[in-house]
Amino acid sequence: MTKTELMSGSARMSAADWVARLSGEPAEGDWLSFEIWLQSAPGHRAAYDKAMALWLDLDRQAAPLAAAISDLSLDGPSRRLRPRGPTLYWGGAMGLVAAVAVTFAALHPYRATEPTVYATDHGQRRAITLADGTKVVLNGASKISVRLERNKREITLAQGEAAFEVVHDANRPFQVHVGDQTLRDLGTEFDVLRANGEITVTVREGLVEVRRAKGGQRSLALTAGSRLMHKEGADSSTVMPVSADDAFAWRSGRLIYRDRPLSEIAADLNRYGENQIRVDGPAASLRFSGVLIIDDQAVMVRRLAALLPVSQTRQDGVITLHGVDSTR
Amino acid sequence: MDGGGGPERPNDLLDAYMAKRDDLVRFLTARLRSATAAEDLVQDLYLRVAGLELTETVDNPSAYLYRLASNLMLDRLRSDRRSGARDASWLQTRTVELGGESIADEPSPEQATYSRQRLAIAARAINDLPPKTRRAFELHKLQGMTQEETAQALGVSRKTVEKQISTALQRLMSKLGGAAT
Repeated sequence: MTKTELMSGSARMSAADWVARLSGEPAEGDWLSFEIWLQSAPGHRAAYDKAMALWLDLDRQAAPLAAAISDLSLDGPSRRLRPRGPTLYWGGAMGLVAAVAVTFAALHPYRATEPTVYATDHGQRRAITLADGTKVVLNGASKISVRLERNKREITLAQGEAAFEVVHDANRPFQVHVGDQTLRDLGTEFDVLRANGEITVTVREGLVEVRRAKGGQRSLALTAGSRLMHKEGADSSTVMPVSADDAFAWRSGRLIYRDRPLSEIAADLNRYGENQIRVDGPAASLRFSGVLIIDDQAVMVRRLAALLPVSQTRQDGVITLHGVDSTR
Repeated sequence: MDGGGGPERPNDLLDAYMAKRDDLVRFLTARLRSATAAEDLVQDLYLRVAGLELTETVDNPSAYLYRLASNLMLDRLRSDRRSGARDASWLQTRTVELGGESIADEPSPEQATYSRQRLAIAARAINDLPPKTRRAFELHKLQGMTQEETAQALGVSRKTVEKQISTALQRLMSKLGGAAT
């Protein structure tokens, strides 16, 4: 039992009050006092999120729930006597519920077969919780499609970067298709990046199985704290140990580098804006250690240039970094 | 686009956005009845905030953000109403954005693993609510009436409906302990 589950009774009451209030017609004053309430105790956000998750769950289950309630009140031994007054209205309402339930049942099979697509623009970041509880954070200029079925969960990373915290379910394997590789997750936390013809998989926790998408018999088990790099189309991949926390730092708005070549950092920065970042000849071998706060791409380049002996020129959407001393 | 990087904007509003982003999603999720829709809206809000040419400082960034978000939301709700179907409209917006791929915006109800047992517990909890509370819950939650419409149908104030809804949710939370996992 975790701390959030040991929520006090009063926190739960306020959380439910807020869900009810905000589901009505909230105004500016409600937003301002909601903010204050969220900040006033460390457990409030979790309490609200929990209440809201249940609330949304009920929306998804409205039709079967209405049917279950109507079964109970028709067949149940403790059938309640309805007060007079709105009784007529009530009878009509139950008919409506039944009709809605039928419509929903008819619609489900079609909806379940469509993949859900999530995409971000340059410089955006987006957190998604899938219906199975798996958490995905999408980095900028990224796109995934998600298909959750009864016996499998399939994600395709079309481009960009996504970090996954997978909820393990032995009956529904979790697979990520990325370029010519397929990852199978065994309940874990990992990051996948597809950019510039290269696939990078970093595992922070648990185990990820990697194999070629087509005709791959051999698979490779990637353990926590390791990274796989694969050029798309190539026969082999490289596996190396890494500080996995660094690879996940972008989720909290930071890029962390320990002695990395400028060319690699430039490749990363390419994904944070529309400009192309290039490194001029000798400057490519400069190495950088430090933290870059994720921001507007031009601002990030400027900060980087301030930390290294480089200058930048801009032309036609291309920012070039030059080594300052190499030209003299 | 040439010349050195443009002048740095005063970023108070952007800072406020970054700090309050998640809480705005929380706030809007209730109103839009969808975490995905709320996320989308807050994403759009980012573009607004980042693109704003502010000539003077904003003295209450939080209220300012709220107004921007609220305008965006009203625009959406209005265009939803115009097109007649809220769900269809969300789908349209995103389809355009992603270049004509077929998109299901919400996880389908089948995907949400909601066991029979949980459903039975929920149904019983609702059945055992005081009759008026139960009716308010059913109209608002299961039939999708707004709180205002529910209040009118039951001849009570909207504030009363809000309290009844909260009571129902508290009861469900204590029986179910949160969302299905």
